[in-house]
Amino acid sequence: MPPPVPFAASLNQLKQRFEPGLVIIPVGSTVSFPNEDPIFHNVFSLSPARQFDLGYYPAGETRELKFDQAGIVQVYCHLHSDMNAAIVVVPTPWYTQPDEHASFSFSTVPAGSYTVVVWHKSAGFFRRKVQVSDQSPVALSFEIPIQEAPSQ
Amino acid sequence: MRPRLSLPTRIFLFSFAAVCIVAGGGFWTLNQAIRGKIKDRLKESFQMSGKLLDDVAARYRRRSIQMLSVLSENAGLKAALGLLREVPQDQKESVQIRKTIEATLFEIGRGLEYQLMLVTDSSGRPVAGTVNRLWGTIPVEPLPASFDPSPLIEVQGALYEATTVPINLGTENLGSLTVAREFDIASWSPSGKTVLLEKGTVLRSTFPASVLPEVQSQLRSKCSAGQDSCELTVSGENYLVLPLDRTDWAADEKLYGFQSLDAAMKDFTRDFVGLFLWIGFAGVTGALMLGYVGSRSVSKPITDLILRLKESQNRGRLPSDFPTDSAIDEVNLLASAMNEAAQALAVSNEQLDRANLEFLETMARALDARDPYTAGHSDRVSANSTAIAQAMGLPDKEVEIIRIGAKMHDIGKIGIRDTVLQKRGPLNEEEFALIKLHPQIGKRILEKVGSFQEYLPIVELHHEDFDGRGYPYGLRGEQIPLGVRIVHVADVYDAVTSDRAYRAAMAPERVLEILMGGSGTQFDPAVVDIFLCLLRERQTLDRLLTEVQSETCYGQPIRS
Repeated sequence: MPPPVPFAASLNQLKQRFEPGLVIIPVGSTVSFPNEDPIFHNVFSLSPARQFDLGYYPAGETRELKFDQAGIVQVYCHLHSDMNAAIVVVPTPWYTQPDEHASFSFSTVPAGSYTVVVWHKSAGFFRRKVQVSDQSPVALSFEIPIQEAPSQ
Repeated sequence: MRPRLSLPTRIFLFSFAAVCIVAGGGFWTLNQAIRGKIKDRLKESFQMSGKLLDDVAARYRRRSIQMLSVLSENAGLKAALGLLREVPQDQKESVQIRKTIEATLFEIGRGLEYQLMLVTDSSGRPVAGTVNRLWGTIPVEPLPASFDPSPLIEVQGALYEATTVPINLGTENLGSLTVAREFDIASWSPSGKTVLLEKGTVLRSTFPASVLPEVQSQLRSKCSAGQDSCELTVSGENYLVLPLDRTDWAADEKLYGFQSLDAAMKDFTRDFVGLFLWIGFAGVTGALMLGYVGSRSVSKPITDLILRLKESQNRGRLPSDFPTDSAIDEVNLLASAMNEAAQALAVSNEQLDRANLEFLETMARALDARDPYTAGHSDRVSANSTAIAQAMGLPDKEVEIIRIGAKMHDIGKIGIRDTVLQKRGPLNEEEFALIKLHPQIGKRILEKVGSFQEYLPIVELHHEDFDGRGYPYGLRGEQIPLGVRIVHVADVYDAVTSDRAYRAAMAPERVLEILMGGSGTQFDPAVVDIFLCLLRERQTLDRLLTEVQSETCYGQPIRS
């Protein structure tokens, strides 16, 4: 398995939301957290994969963090309890996010035995072993049960 | 057996009883009406206060929800809950996260009036909780294994009214936050009792534990769902029971308020008891007086009538003069009916007496007629006796008694054998003894007839002499009634002036001799004097009586 190639990603704070809500990065990547709102934000995470608290910073400023450990990092804002994003730090070069039709594909995976790991922020992890051959593509599908939050 | 009561008692009892029944019924009805009114009022106020309390509770709940909405928007809480999902339950991290949530609860609960705060994860499992104790706020330990977010929860044996809101992150549910305050059952019915029922079982109550089984079974049997109220009796006390609606509660849990009807009744009537007693007392007194007056006014004329009847019974005569001027028509009718009956009775009695009399007179005449020598004797004795009595100025009534008595004076001779009665020659001793029995025989014959009592002395005693030498008793002087003394003279006179079988009628001189000679011995001198005077007046013995100087027979002194 080739090592993943780190890169610099960005998790914006815009209109009191994290944008995008999900960031997938390979281990060793950096994420910057620019505040593009006209108000203060205080980005933090309690996740064991990367615990941090960036403190208050005003509009126009940014902070940058490097993620060296694979895992899910839930990101919140102390000032706005509904702001939430997840940074998925992956230890593999093969990662993707399903499109609007909930479909995904990998084209550069050599033949061999693999485990496909699926994560959904409320449904959690799903794992499945898969055998990839050189001849034909392998079809895979996951059923993710998602609970809708009750309205108040 | 039917009780025998006098008329006044009867009338009194009936009128008094009627008034008492009406008064009693009135009181009872009044009491029931008041009870009903009180019940209605109680129910009304009960429902109103129940509604009020429910409103307060609902408002409290709304406020709690608003408060919770703010409290649940806590980024730390959300971050911790979100994290909790990703670590296994039994790991150190998990404990740490729970402590974090607990600390957050301590933080946000400070200064709020809630006694219990509880956070669950998205599957409803409690993850942290705090509870207020007298000495401060402490963690809930151990946490309940599961938690049902109902409005009424039981945690560590205590009952709480709870409000729960979900903790959401966008469209995602992280868990729930519950705040609660202890359920104070006593606050629901401050003046009465309250029972909290869960699926028909008493969960909490302000009744003493000893009566709870009674309360529970009665609630089940008498207060079915849907009724707006019912009535129970617990330990002899009557309660009005109302379900206290809790709009936000589940159907399993029912709150019942109990208000004592007896106490409410007592409260209400306390002010009126005196008045009621007075009215009752006045009513009974009035009924007594009215009953007495009524019974008297009805029965007095009748009892008067009865009294007069009794008197007449004692006198032996039924009067025909009962007063018919009573105020009661019926009594007047009765009196006049009795008057008519008395008159009819008197008439028939008179007729009977007359018939008896005629019969006896006929008998006497027949007796006289058996012997030609004594024929007409009784009539003549009667006529002369009557004349003497009239001359002596006796009252008409006595004259009449003498007239009739004289007619029958010898009736007793019926019982004497003819051989003795008609013997022509001197009687021997035995025969004379037989003859001497006739006054008593006569008496016995007449005494059978009640109305002939007044003639008895004449029949029985007409052979008694003035000096006590007569028979049958040898009475003397005034012991012999005047009427008898008169008849005695007339009897002897007729005997000597009539022919007898054994001798002819005596000469007038001899007759005079016998009369004058017997005066004072055999006869009453006063009677003899009058009789002689009468005889002279009749001029029968005129010429022989020249020496007896007297202008008139009347005005002679009467010795009776």
